[in-house]
Amino acid sequence: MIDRATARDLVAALRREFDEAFAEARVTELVEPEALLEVTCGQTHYAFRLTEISGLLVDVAITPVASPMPELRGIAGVRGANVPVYDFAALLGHPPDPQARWVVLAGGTTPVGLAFARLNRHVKIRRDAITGQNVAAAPQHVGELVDLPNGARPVVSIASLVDEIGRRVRAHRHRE
Amino acid sequence: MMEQWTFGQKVGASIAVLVALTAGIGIIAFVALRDVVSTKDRVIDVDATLLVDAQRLRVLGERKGGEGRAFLLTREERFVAGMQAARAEFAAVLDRLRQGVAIDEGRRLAGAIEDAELNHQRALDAVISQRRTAAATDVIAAAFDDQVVPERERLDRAIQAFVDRQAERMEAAKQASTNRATVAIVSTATVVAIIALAAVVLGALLTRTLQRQIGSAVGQVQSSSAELQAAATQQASGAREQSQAMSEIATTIGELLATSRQITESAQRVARVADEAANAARAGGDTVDQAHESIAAIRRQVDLIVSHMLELGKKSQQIGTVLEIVSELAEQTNILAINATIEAAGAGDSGKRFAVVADEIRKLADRVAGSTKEIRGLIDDVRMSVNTTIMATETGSKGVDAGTRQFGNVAASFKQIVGLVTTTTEAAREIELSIKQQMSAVEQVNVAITTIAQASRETEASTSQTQQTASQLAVLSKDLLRVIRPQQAGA
Repeated sequence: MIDRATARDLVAALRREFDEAFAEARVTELVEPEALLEVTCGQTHYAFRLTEISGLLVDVAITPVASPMPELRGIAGVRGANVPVYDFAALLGHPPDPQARWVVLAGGTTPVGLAFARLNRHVKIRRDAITGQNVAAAPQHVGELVDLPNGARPVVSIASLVDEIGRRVRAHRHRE
Repeated sequence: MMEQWTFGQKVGASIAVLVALTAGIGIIAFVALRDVVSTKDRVIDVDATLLVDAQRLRVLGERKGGEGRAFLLTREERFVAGMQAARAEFAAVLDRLRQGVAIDEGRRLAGAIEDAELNHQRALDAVISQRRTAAATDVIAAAFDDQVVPERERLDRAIQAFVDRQAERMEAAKQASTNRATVAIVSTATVVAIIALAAVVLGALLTRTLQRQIGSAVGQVQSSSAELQAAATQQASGAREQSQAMSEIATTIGELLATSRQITESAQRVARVADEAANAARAGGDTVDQAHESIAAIRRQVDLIVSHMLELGKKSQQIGTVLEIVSELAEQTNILAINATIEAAGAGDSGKRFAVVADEIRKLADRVAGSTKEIRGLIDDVRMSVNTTIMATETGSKGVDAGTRQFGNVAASFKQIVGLVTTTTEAAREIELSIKQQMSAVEQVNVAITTIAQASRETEASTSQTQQTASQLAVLSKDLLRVIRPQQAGA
């Protein structure tokens, strides 16, 4: 249990760290770090690059629509535009997760939302921590692995998922 | 039934039987004598009288005839008057005789006499009438012989017939009286013989019964005297033992007196100790009451603690609510920081400084989220502690309640103890008083025991006298048995 003095010290440390971040001289890192988001779909943890998304939403209202694609959760209004939201777990081959409350907006020209159940953390790692080795048996849309302190995580390619969505949409349109 | 009669009853019964038999003899003799006497009286009074009257009729007939013949000879009227007087007397006797006879034959014979006398009188009156007319003597005599004499003979025969018949009746009555007397004599003799025989039988039976009864009684007296001797011997031994026991009892009673004095002193000490115990119990009761008050105060404090704990639980819940808001703010801040980072990355080099700020904000949001999570855990710990404390406090409260009840019971017990100790004090005093009374009674018993010991010694002496008396009684019973049954007494 934390006593009152410890809590007061913790707050002071936070304030000091925040202030010192602006007091220190700017240092340009030699290797630009990579920002990742670690999420959980079903029982599996995944990561994807922050540079592949254009926004992160939570508890956004999703309006279900009739669609032959079971992975389509519905339409969400984001910044004045209607964005289709797909189930991240279903696209990766897991059962659809109706409790998914987090939505990331895929970057690129096509506005697409991907819904998942839990956002674990936002991490910055060195680029060399992401490797393309030992991914032969990895699931579809996973081309790399990232070594995080709590274990290796498959890195999902959001662009690949968006392409997959495009292919499925076209296939359905062609079928119609 | 006779076997159960006493000696006196049997003798009395025998005498009563003899008296009854004697009375029977007397009654029978009386009845027989009276019958004989009455028979004789009837013979004398009736039959003899009738016979005498009949003879008198014969005389009066002769007299009447003589007076008539005297008139016929002398013609003097005085003889006619004499004849009339004799006839009147004749009629009176005949009338009495007729009344005396009790059977028809007698009355017929009396009637025949009357008819014969009437005919005789008529014949005589006729001759007398002739004589008054101065008829010749020869004629008178002839008329007398022809008329009067036959009638006179018939009158005599009638009277004789009555006399004969009455003589026979008197003889028969005499014989009947004799027979009755003989029967009375025989009956009396028979009854006397029977009574004598009964007296002999009764005497034999009485003698035999009395011999058996007295013999049995004497045997019982012998046996009883022997038992009395044995009992007297045993009683003498018992009296000696009783005397010794009385001495031991006297000694024991002396010890009992000493013990009673000790008990009296102990009872007094018990009373004093009980008084002290009662005072201590009262003091204990006061202390328990004070402790009871303290427990009640603790109870109130515990209730206050429970109230505070419940308030603390509510505050913790409110903190949890605020913390949810903080957590949500941290999450929104994190989202905002991530989106800022994304926007900064899209801004190229100009966004790098903004990316630094966004990254710091994100770190801060992460730290806040971590701290919020930690605070939530702490609040959960606080809630759990509060719940545990409330439960413990409630348990303590129940314990306090139980303690309060127990203190109440203890207080009641102390009051009960005070009552019991008071009762004990009174009981100890009563015991002391009772022991004193008991000592007095024991002293009286001691005196009585001394008297009993003296009586035992006297009993021992009298028992020796009883032994001698029993011996004399045994000798006396043997003598009596010898008198009643010599053969058994000899044996």
